[in-house]
Amino acid sequence: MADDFSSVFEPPLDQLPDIDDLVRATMEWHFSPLTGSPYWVERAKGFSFDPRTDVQCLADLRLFADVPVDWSQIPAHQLVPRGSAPGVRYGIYESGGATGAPKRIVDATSRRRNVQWQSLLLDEQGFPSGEGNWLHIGPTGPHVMAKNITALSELRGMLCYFVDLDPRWVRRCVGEGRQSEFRRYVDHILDQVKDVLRTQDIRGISTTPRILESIGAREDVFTLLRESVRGIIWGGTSMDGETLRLIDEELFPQAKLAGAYGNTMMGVAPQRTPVPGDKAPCVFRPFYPYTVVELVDPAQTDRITSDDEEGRVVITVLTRDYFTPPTLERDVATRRASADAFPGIELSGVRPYESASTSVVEGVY
Amino acid sequence: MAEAKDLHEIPLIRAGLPRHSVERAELAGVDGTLLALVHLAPPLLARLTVADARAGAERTPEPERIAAAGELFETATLNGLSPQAYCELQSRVAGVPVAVARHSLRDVAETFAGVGARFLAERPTGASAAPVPGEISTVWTRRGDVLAVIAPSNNPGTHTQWLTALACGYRLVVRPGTRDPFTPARMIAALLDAGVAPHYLSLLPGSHATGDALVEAADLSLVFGGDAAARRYGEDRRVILRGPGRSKLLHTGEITEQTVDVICRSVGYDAGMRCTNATAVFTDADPAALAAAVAERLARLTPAPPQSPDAQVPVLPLAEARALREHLEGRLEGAVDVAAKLYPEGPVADLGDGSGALRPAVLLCDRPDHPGARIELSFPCVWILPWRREQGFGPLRDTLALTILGGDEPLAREALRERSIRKVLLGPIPTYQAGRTSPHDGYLSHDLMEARAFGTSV
Repeated sequence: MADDFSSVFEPPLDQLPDIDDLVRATMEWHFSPLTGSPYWVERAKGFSFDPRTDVQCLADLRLFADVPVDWSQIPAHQLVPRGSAPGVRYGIYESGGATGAPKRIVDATSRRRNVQWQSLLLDEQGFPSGEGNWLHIGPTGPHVMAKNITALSELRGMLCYFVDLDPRWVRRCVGEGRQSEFRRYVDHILDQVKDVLRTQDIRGISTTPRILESIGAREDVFTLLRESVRGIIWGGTSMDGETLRLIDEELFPQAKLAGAYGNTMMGVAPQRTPVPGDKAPCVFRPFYPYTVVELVDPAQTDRITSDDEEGRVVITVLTRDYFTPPTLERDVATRRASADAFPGIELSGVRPYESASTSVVEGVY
Repeated sequence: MAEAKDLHEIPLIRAGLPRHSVERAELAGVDGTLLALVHLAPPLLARLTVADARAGAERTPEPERIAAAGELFETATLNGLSPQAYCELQSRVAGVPVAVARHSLRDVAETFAGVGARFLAERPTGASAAPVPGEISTVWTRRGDVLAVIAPSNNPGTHTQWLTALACGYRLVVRPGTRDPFTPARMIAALLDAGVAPHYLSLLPGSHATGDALVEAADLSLVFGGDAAARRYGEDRRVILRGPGRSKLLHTGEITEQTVDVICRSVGYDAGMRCTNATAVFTDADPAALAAAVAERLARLTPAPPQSPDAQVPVLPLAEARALREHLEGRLEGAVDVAAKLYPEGPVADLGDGSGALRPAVLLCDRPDHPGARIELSFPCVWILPWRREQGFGPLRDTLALTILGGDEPLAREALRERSIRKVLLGPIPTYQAGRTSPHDGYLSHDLMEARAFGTSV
């Protein structure tokens, strides 16, 4: 959509905007009664500040510290900005619900830009494109993953097959200690994967670490996949360095492996192309400035961690489709100085934050 | 990590081959000193290692080879550690007095040497002859090929149990306990040096998830653990559980010097950390008098850093030691610790280096059904309960080892009829004593092997 905001919300991907310009545009777009969403415009009436005048830079977003947002309770249609051009089609997307009731966001085209950017990094990494097809083994349905992967496979010139995985059912099985039911579900998924692999020409896949491991344990599926696959995107849950190495070197030596960190709320932080001197085997690069990731001291959340220090993830999302003020996430990660002067931070070693009071069940997805 | 190069490094062993991992964990002594770096195996590696173990050819090690490995375990420098260096490291990290590891060197070597005799003793006589053409006979065969072992850290001797499986021809994949990877690493190094085929031996330090993956991938598993492990794996028919021992003594008649002696040795031997150490004593004499005598004797056990030859009780990081005591205080339900008054500085001896030694507890109970008899803690801790013959063996169920003091032979026969009592000793024999080929908790090989028929025509 071409308007006054296009130069910050939709510039070419090699001309990313200044962060403070983006912050001001986001405040104006989402909080102006003319263009903002019913939710934010209404909500702002109770603020002790005016986002359109008092928020001039990234640091000013701290004013939102007193504005808790429960994304699981908002009627999602109220999140659609009024200023959206006629004909722009929004979708509603839900989180897996790892930390409680599912959160909902709306998205029209912003996530596609995030995926385009991911695809540029994949090109840089020599990830396959053009020949053969794609298979996504992971959440579809209400989850934004299916939309992301549809966009990604299109961009890479491949048709996309899907085998659905319901992360909420997995979490329930694991949470209730129903290991055998969980294993049966994974086998049900792998049977479907086998059918696709046997009859279709699959060169690229996207899935979770746990499914990759399960495939490694199923000789029939593993043999087929190892033969055909040339590119694997993994994400959804964390993967330790040794497992990554084993998958890369031992299970699928002929495939390019690329990680993707992210979730419904923050978008995709693809793996940055490795450079000599990297301190971790897989470093993620959030889509700055549209997704701003900070890492903070878990014990003292107003202290930002230093490079190579572990901290809890705080995300801020500044896009035309939706705005998320700085929000403490469930994960911890290690902050890394970004390579090649990229303006945003990078991170590695992502894992769920475990405190005494919360318990997160990490499943397959 | 500047000091990392001074740490003893424990690689994982994948089908006999040492391998480094990207994931590592530092191991500290109970006083907080960093001592070792352990390479960790993720769940995926458990699956891959089981596949490697399965893939190799059949090469069941001969008993002589295992015996030779026992000698190496006792005397050789293995993994860069002399026997003494191994004992010190094991004691400092596990918090077990070094005297335990030192006498275990010999005990382990003897178990290695006796594994052939044990295998033969456990095999049914009907399956002992080689099949003859023209006859249909019995053969003693494995139920599977790969055995996962989820091992504990409480006592080096516990590890010798899985040697039987090696003699049966199982390929072993061992996930060691967090605090003692040293003992299985040394056993495996000795066995490999003695020429056991590499794919028969793997060591995968790792998390619970790694253990789960291992149990799932292996044919059978030997799992050491408490009630939590029982809940986790209790339903799995492929899992052989070695849970808490809840060993006991039953005493009738007079309280003699010998009574007190056998009770105290049963409770305090090897710092009270074995499953065959006594957890409870039932007596038809005066429980208060017995408890006082036992407390007085056990209080003499010396608290000292685990690497000290004087140490006789377990040592933990101070906070953990105190937490364990607090846990005990919370479960007394009216029982009285009659040993407590013998420790003016408290039941946890602060060793001044960040660690604390757990001094013995003697808990006097007022009724035979006091729940204490089921509470087994990893230090000399004994519950003394009143008992009358008419109460029978109900209160004595679920007992790995039972010693009956007082010479009542009919009572011992009766105890043998209670299936959940796994060993009965009549007379002044401490609970931890075992015969050369007597069963520990049934014969392990009877869970690993089965008799099948085989016949050929003439």
